[in-house]
Amino acid sequence: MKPAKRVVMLADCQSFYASVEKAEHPEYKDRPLVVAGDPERRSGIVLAACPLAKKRGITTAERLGEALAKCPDVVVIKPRMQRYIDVSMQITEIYKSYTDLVEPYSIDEQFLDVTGSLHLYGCTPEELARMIQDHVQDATGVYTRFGISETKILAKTACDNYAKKSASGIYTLPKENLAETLWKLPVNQMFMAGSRMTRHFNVMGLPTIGSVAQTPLPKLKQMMRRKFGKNSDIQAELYWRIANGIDDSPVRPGTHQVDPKSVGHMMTLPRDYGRLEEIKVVLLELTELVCQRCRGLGFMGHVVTVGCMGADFDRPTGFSRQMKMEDPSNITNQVYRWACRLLEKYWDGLPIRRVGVSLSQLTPDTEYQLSLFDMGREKSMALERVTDALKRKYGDSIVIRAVSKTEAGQALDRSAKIGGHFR
Amino acid sequence: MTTRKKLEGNGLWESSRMMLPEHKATIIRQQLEEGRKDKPNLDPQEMELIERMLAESFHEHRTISLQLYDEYEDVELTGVVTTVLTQRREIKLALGPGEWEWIKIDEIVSVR
Repeated sequence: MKPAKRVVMLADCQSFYASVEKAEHPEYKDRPLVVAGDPERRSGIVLAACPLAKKRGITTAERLGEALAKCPDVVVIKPRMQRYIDVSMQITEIYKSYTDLVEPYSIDEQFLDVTGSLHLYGCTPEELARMIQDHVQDATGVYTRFGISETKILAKTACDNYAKKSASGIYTLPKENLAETLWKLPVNQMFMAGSRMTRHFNVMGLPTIGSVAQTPLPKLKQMMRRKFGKNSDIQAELYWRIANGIDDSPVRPGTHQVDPKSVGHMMTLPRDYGRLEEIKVVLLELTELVCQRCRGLGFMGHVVTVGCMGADFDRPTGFSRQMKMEDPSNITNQVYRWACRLLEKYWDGLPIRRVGVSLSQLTPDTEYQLSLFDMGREKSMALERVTDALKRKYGDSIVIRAVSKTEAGQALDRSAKIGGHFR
Repeated sequence: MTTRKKLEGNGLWESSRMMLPEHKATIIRQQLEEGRKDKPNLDPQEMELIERMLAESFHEHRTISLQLYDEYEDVELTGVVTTVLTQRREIKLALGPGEWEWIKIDEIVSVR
């Protein structure tokens, strides 16, 4: 027997943060509302705008000042990231009451594979989506949109390109109908095609998703090789599969349990940093966070990567470089020494807007190489075990380094935030 | 660099998703809690089978795999039974040269 086609859905929450706030503040029901970051810092942008605010011309990611100019009576709410995570988990639980195959893709998007449970409801996929949509709306006040198809990529495409624009918020994109639907859209509407890739596709004479899909794969590989060199075969195949809706990835609930490939932290600074000592303070703080997380996960990293982004948007500067340490480590001071070397070697002296540190090539930290030269290792490990335990119990701000008290320090501010916004 | 992994398994989605570390940690913690289970009550026949396998391993130095109960995730150990303490209901399982572990017989869920 030929296996039946899968029924995969991508459920997306409309203006998620704003919807959560509206549900919890019924007094603002009929007013335009935005959730925006701290205007004192550069996170002071619109993170989410409710449909009423969008109607007044406010767009996501614009500066709060611009939003206020367009719509002076808009209600501005401070983000509460932990609350959004909790509501997202609550929605996951609702989805899970319909199928055990639920995979969160971001805080407001989740995949559902209902192939095996559809018959329990004796209805069409669209009717089931409607049921789930009502359920989420009643329980949380959040409006969800559903893209439905037989693969994850098509479900995602159906949601982004059609369901979000349809009145019911539910859209099925059958694979057989791609020629009349998806293929007619311009290539910038394709999943994973950013502005740069769109430009390249246009130059290659591929203005629509259909034109990418219908180029034979060997030919597409050849065309991309001419542009990006011989290592672009996989990229070519990736875009070709996306355009054709070919995707055999499973909806995998345990997907988040895989061991991380790297552990990194990055932050946008409240102002541009132009002095080496200032940058080093943040570098140390980020290294501390990265190593702390590695220690918590039981990993050591072998390769340190440091990235800095220049302050000038119009003339992008900065670097991202990596170096292999002598031995894998998760000890803050050790990793910091290498991170500093990278910074000192590659920083061009221009003001910096964003700094990131990451550790990769992770190995379990149950065994490590004894070093003849580094006698302090056992001591550092013991010390960090204590500081980590304290931080777990009382929060990251309980023990900080002295430099974090200087003007450049960001550790205290960061410990009060999730993803750069208020908890 | 785009690697082959993006085209395999769940690679496309694992490499493109945006997850807050705090969100991810919550999901993992919850899945762990969901997998939490009580210790199974073994059927007397199953218990007999386990004890027979242990005895066989002890007498004939046969390598066996033991499944040990854990609240979250069962542990599997492979080795040969070298000592049996009937009074304390414990066995000593030799896992390799110079490596062994004492195991309470009541912790064993199954034997292969």
